[in-house]
Order: sequence, then C-alpha cells, then structure tokens
Amino acid sequence: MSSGLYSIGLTGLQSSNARINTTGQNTANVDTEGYSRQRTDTTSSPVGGVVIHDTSRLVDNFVSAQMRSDQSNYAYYDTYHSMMTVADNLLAEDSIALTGYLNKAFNALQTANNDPTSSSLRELAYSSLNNLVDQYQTLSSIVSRQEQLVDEQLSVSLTKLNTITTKISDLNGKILREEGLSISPANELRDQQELLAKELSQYLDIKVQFSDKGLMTVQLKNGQPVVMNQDPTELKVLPDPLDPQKIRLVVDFGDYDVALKTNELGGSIGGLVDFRSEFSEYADRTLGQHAISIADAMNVQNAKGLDANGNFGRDIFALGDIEIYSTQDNLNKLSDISVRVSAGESAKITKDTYELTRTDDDRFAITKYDANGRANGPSVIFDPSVLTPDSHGYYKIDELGLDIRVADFDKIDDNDEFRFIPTEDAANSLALYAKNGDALALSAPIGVDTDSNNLSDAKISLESITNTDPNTSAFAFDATLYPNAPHKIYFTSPTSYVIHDASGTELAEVKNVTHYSNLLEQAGLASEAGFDVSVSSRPQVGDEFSIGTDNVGPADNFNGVALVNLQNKLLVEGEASLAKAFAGFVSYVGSKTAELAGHAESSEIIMNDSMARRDRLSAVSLDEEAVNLLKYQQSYSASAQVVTAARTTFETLLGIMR
Amino acid sequence: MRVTNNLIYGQSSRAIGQANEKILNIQEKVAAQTDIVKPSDNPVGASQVLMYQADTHKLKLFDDAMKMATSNLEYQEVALDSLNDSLDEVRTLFIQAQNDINTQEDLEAIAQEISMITESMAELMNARSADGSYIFAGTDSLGPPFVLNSNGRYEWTGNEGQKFAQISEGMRIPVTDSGKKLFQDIWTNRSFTSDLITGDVSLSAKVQNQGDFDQFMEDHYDPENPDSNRYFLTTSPILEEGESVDLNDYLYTGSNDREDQQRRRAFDGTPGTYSIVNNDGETVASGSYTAGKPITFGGMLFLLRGEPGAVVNVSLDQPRRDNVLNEINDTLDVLKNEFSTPEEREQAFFDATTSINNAQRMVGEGRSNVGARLNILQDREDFSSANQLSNATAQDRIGGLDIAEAATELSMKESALTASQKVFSRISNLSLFNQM
Repeated sequence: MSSGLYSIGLTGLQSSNARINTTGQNTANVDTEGYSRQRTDTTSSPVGGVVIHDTSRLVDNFVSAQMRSDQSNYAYYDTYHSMMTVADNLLAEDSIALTGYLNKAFNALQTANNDPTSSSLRELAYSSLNNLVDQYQTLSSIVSRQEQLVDEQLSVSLTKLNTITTKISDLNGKILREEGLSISPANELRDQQELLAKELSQYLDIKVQFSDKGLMTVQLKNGQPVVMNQDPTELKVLPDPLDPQKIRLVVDFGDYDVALKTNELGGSIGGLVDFRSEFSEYADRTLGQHAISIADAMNVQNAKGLDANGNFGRDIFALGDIEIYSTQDNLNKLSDISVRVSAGESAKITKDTYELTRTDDDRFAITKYDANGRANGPSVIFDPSVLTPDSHGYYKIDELGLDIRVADFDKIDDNDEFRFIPTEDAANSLALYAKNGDALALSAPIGVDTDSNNLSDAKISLESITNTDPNTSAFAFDATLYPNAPHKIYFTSPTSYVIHDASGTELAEVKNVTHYSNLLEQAGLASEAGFDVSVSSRPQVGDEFSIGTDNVGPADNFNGVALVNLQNKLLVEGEASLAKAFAGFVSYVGSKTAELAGHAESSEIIMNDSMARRDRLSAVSLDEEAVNLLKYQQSYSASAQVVTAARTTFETLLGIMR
Repeated sequence: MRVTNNLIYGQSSRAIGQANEKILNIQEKVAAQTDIVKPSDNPVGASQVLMYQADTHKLKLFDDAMKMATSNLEYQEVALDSLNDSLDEVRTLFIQAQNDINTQEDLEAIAQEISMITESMAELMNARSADGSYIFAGTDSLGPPFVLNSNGRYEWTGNEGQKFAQISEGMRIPVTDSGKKLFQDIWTNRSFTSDLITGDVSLSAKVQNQGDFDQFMEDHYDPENPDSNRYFLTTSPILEEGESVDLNDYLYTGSNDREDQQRRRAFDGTPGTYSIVNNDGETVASGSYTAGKPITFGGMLFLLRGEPGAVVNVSLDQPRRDNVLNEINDTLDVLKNEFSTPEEREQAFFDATTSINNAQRMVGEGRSNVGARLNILQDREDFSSANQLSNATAQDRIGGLDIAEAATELSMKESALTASQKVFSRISNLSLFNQM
C-alpha cells in the first residue's frame, strides 16, 4: 500500500514539476512573438496517481484564420494608403500645385501683351512657360518615382514571400518528423509556422488549411496554391507586352507559369498592385491629358498669329511620341505605325487605352478601353482607302482626334492587336519647342484699314482669326494674303456690299445687310478666308475698307489676348478649364486617400480586435502564471509531503516491529 | 475575460500612439493655419479651395490688365485734354486774327504763335507712354504716327490697329485709340468749284451757309458717279414766247480785267431769269436774275455781274479728310501772304475753324470714349475686389482654421495623452510577481 503511496507521490511530483516547467516556459516566452501559451494536461490514473497526458498549445484556428485575414486586409489598405499619402502631401503644396505655375505662365503672357515690342517681357513669358513645362515633368516624376518604388517594393516583397513559403513547407517536414517521435505536438514549431503564416498574410490574402496529418497548406484567396505540403511554389512578376505599365504576377510551377488574377490579391502586394493599376495609371494619364490639352491649344492659337519676326507662330510646346505596344510576334510591325494627336483636337483625347485591329479586308477599327479594361463606346471603323493622308502620310480619324500613319496596312493581320495610350507619359515628355520669347505669336496676321475718303465715320475692325493654314485659308506661307483672298469691302449702298480680291475682282455680293459684324461670314467667305472683320456703324455708299498684311503693327496683341484667354477655355475633354481639371485631380487624390485612410483605420481596429481575441486565448498572463506557479509549487510540496507521509507511515510500521 | 500581458501592453501602447498622432495632426493644422493640410483632409474642400484660388488669381490677372489699361487710357486722356485746350487757343487766335484792324505785322505775330501751338499739338499727337511707345500710332507704336514731310505737311504713318486688354472672361477693351480716327480722318471744310463756261459776266461764288451746304452735300453728293455732282447755272434774258436763244451767241470772255469789269458794271440791269439744272437735265432751282444780286442755292452763293446769258458750271468737291495741323498751316500760309485777298483770308479762316471744330468733336468723342472705358474699369475693379474678398471669405470658410476650436481640441488631446500615460504607469506596476 505504501508503495502505492510512493508512486502516487512520485507522479504528483512529476506532474507538478512538468507543470512548473510549462509555467516557466510560459513566463519566459511572455514576450515571444507568436508564442501560444501551453498547458500540461494530466489525467488521474485508475491505479492511483496522475498521468501526464501532453503539453499542448491553447490556440483557436478559427481566431487565427480571422486574424490573418484581418491582417492582410489592413496591410492592403495601409500599403495603398501610405503610397497615396505621397501624392496627397505633395499636390496641395503651393510650390508644387500646377495651378500656381499655370497662373504664373498666363500672367507673364499677359504682361508681354502689355508691350509686345519688348523682348524682355517676351523672355519673361518664355521662361514662365519653361517653368510650367518643368512642373509638368516634376508632377509626372512624382508619379513615376512612386511607380519605381512600387516596383522595388514588389520585388522585395516577392522575395520575402517566396522565402516564407519555403520556410513554411520546410517546417511542415520538421513537424512531421518531430511529432512522429513524441506524443506531445511540436508546439514551438507550430507556433513558428503560424507566425510565418501570419507574416505571409501581410503580403497576400491567404487561406490556411491543415491536412489530415496536421500539415499546413496555404492557398491564395482565389484558390491558387502557394504551399502544398512540402512543396513551395514561387511567385514572380512578368511584363505584359501589350501593356507594360500593368503588373502581371505568375506562379512558377517549374515547367510552366500560371498567371494570377491581379485583382483582389489583398495584402500589401495587392495594395501595391492596385496602387499601380488604379492610381498611378490614372494620375499619369490625367496629367498627360492635361499636358496634351494645354500644348495643343497653345500651339494651335500660336499658329493664328505672327511672332516677333513677322512669321506665323510655330509650335510652342512639343509632345513626345505616342508609344505603341503589341504582342511579341508583332514587334517588328511597330516601327511602321505611328499615332499623334490631331492639331486642335485635343478635347477629344480621353484617358483610355486605344486598340487598333483589323475588321475585314479594307477596314480597321480603333476601340477605346477604360481603366477597367471595358470597351468605352463603339469602335471607330475607318477605311484607309477612302481617306486621304496628309503630306506626312497621316490619316486623320476625326471621331478620335487622332492622326494615324501605317506604312503598309496589308502587314496588319486579322488577329493583330496594337495598343497605345495617347495620354501615357505625355506630361513627362512635354517639352518647350519654342526657342525664345520671340516665338510667341502675339500679333494678328492681318491689319485693317478704313479709307480716308469714306463718307461715313464707320471703322473696320478685325473680328477673328480662325485659320492660317496655307492649304485651307487665305494666308500664304510667307504670312501674306493670297491675291485671290478678300482684300477690300466696298459698300454699294448702306445695306449692301461687295468683296473684292487684290486685283479688284468681285468675290461676293451681299444685299439687305441688317448688321455690320462678321462681314465675310455674311458673304459666305469666312471659313475659306480664315478671318473675319466687322464695321462699327452704318457705312455709306462708296465706303471702302481694306484688309492687308502691310498695316500690321509690332505692338499688336490681338493673338496674345487670345492666348491668355485660353485659361478660361474648356480645354480638357471640352469640359473643364486647366485649373478646374487640376482641381478635379487634386480632389480625386484627396478623396481616394481619405477613403483609403478610412479603410485603413477601420481595418486596423478590426485587426486589433481579432488580435486581442487571439491574445485573450493564447497569450500569456503573468498574473495567471504567478498564481499557477504558486499553485504548482504547493502541489509539488504537497506531493513531496505524500512521499514523506509514505515514509513516515512505513517507519511507524517498522517502529511497531521494534 | 482573460487579460493577458500582450493585451495590457498592446492596448496601452496603442492608446498612447493614437493620442500622439492626434496631437500631431492638430499641430500640423495649427502650423499651416488651415483645416485642410492635405487634400485627403477634405477632398471636396481642397478642390474648392483650389478653384477659389484659381478664380482669385484670374481676378488678379484681370486687375493687372485693368491697371495697365487704366494707365494707358489716362495717358490718352491727358494728351486729348491738352490737345483740346490747344485747339481752343488756336481758335481764339484765329478769331483775333480776323479782326480787320490787325496790321500784317500783327498777323505775322499771331501766325507765329499759332504755328508754335501747332507744333506742340503735333507733339501731343505723337505722345509717348512711359515705355516709349507712341500711344496714338495704332499698333505701329515704334515710330511717331505724324511725320512732317518735305512739303511741310504732317503725314499719317501709323495704322488703325488697337491694343486690347482682357479685363474679364468675356470682356476685352481697347486700351489705345488710333490717331487715324482721332486726328487724321477729320473732315475738312466742304467746298465746291464753279467756273464760267460762257457769258460776259464776272462770277464770284462762295459757301454762304456752311450748314445748308453740308446738308446739301449730304443729300446729293454721289461718290460713285462724279458727273452727277455737276450742276449748271444758266442766266438768260426774259424771252418772248417762241423766242429762243442760242447760248453760243453770247459773248464769252474768260478774262475779268478792269475793262471787262467796267463794261459789265455799265450793264443797265435789265432783269433776266436763272435756272439751275443737274447733270440729268432736271431743273432743280430757278428764279429771276438781276445783275449784282446774289443767287443762292443749297447754301452756295453765286454773284454774277453783267448781262444775263451766262452758263456756270458748278461741281461739288469730293469731301476730304485731313489732320487739323495741315489745315491750320494752310490757313497760316494765307495769313502770312500779304497779297492774299480778304475773300481768300475769310475762306481760309473758315476752313481752319471748320477743321478745328471737327477735330474738337473727334477729340471730344475720343475723350468720352476713354472716360467711358475708365468708368468700366473702375466698375470692374470694384467688382473684382468685392469678388476677391468673397473668394477669400469662402476659402477661409472651407479651409480656414478655427483657432479656438483647434486650441480646445489640442488641450483635449493633450489631456487624453497624459491620462493614457498615467494609466500605463499604473498598470505596469500591477503584477502579482511584484507582490510575491
């Protein structure tokens, strides 16, 4: 009987010892990340004493899964948000906001208008335009720098991710071995593995499952396996030849790659990918569209006037070439194709991706795709054989505001795809084409003259200049009027007039005139002439007014005023002024950032809550351990007392014998 | 609930972190003096503030344009004012010169003075602005618009262009006026030419009533067809019924020497008739003719001495415009010439006065034009400053910082931080191990 007592005391001592050990382990690991508190389970033995069952972790897999998903959610929004804050912080800064530079440029232009003969004022305007161009590049570089940062972070993240998946599969092997040798689960290894899974969930939204043997398998949210038992897979980035700006992720299975759906990846990688495809693309294209609008409008307006040297204004800004993308096997055809924005048509340019395909033997289609890859409006079909190209071989596609040149249309096969984005990188490639302030065309190309012998006091004035193209207007290359263009307006009565060309040939006659503005339009000549004039009051018979290029003064600012007035025009997509378009962009960035900040905040609270839930169950409480320690110490002492009692009992028995 | 160490410390550190972050946010707002530090603080507000800023800037741009326009127009106003005064002065001097008691020396002196004033007027017409451009030269402002040529006449070399200033989105006003309209294209005195075709008479003709004549010109002058501006004045003796006169029978003596004049004066004065026909042969006026009695028609006065039976060709001169300087100088030439007849002098005075009057009318029109534009500018400036003020107010309402609120918030967050810190230091001491 007393041998039973001994063994009971012994098992008590052993179990107390084991428990004190566990308590020690718990106390020691109170600050170890990912440590789950352990408990030693015992059962009472039917033969007396206590049997140590095992030492296991206190974990709830559901809580852990929840925590991982919350964490990847938070990582997604936090990453996206922190990428956005760069743009958010910079855009509102006065020294960076485009509006300030636009204002300065237009201000300087206005000052030049005060005295068009002053070359120093022209230089001032030129340098502010230069600053404006620089600012477009600065803004665009903010976006492209972020893109680079994303690319770098992404490659680092993928490396870490691949390391983690390797470690997890590695641990699967170790756990299998260790648990084969012992009845207790491999607590520490499992803690480590779960910690790794938690780390993994910061990069991607993952699902963790355990096989029959308790081995961890990891899948992406959409079911793509990342860790299968002991085989890790590798994730990598592959460029898309049709759209190099987009990030494409693939899972490498050794022999073959499987493309990943890049939407809803979750985690910080998902955040980076979405930032890249949603925001930076949008920002780049918005700025590009803005740059195209101002460059085109200024160039077109500048062409309608005379520069300081008396020539028609040349382009002020130059835009870079539009890059065209195609699949690998069609790369050789790219050099034959080029696209540019038609002069004066920038309002039609959208931020979409354009795709050129062949529809049948004669015809081609251009389809626009929005940021989400959905077709935007019906395709524009054109047949190059019925269009006439310009002298450089460009076909003008009116509906799109684009000129397209293809060296050999026959080379394009039925299933070829060519993609281009007119707005992509346009802000960065914007450059100042004009060489100095003299290139600003502030003066009107023609002057008007009232004959001094006129009986009335009516005065002629220039109403508008609409076109100075030598091919389609009254203006010749050398900034003179063609001899057959309207030169004189002669009133045959106060309500009728005839228009003469340089040699006195009658071009048109107008009768029953009720108002004296836009006289050429009334005669039906305005569009082919490219300009129009008005007379201030009722003329009399025999009054003569002439139009010519001789009486243009150097101080004329007719076109300069029109250039400054561009800032009030709805240039961007025909809907917004330059300032408004930029304010819209700032507001987009602001609301996107605010939205992400909100999501990041709420997902953080949710994550903290699920972490607290996990901590409530699995974390160590020192107070509890202190109590346990005392308790187990006492039970150890008590068990020791049992052994003492057994000895005392035995000795008492021996004493009786004595 | 099971409270674990991770929970206690995690919660405390989060609480302190959050409190710190909030204080930092407030601090940022106070430092930037705005409620919207980043667009994400208030995306709609941020873009509104930008729009208000852009609008304010646009208004400022227009303000600048208006300042430029105002200074340009004021230069013009001053020049036109002085010019008007000069014209007044010249007119007074001319009136003075018309006085018959003036000797030729007096006239010379007056002419001298007038020509000085004329020169100063030329200077005013060639006025330059502060940046050196000729303000009345149209857009050809690098050279003087009125140039004295070798014939001693002022010639217009500017153009009709105008410089414009955009003073609001839809409003563009001219800031210069061309001297062509103001000074060059001034109507000179209208006149006619008459010559005797046949008849033994001495003819003198002049404009008797300029107003009537101007009206007549207005009504009947045909710029397209020079022939229709011709009239024929015919005097004939009163004829018996059935008698006719062949005009060729009349003696035509083109000369008008003393002998001729005496012979004509000797005419007994038998009255006749006169008729005036236009180029189409229609009779436009007729009446009885008495030698030496004036015949008036359309403001013109014809004085014929001698027997009836004369034909006078009258043609309306093409109205002519020229600057007032040339007209004054022409008159001065007549004045300075001691051989000019009183009639010539009278005509010359008349021509000059008409030109001065017309010039003053244009200058006056020009001044009121400039004045009207200055008024518009004043109104726009008032509007612009009111608008800028309201923009600033609106901007402040959206993005401005409520200092009181920010200060309150700051102290609130501060106390929250202090409380969290205190709670932490308390809790960190609460470990059973400390009591063992």
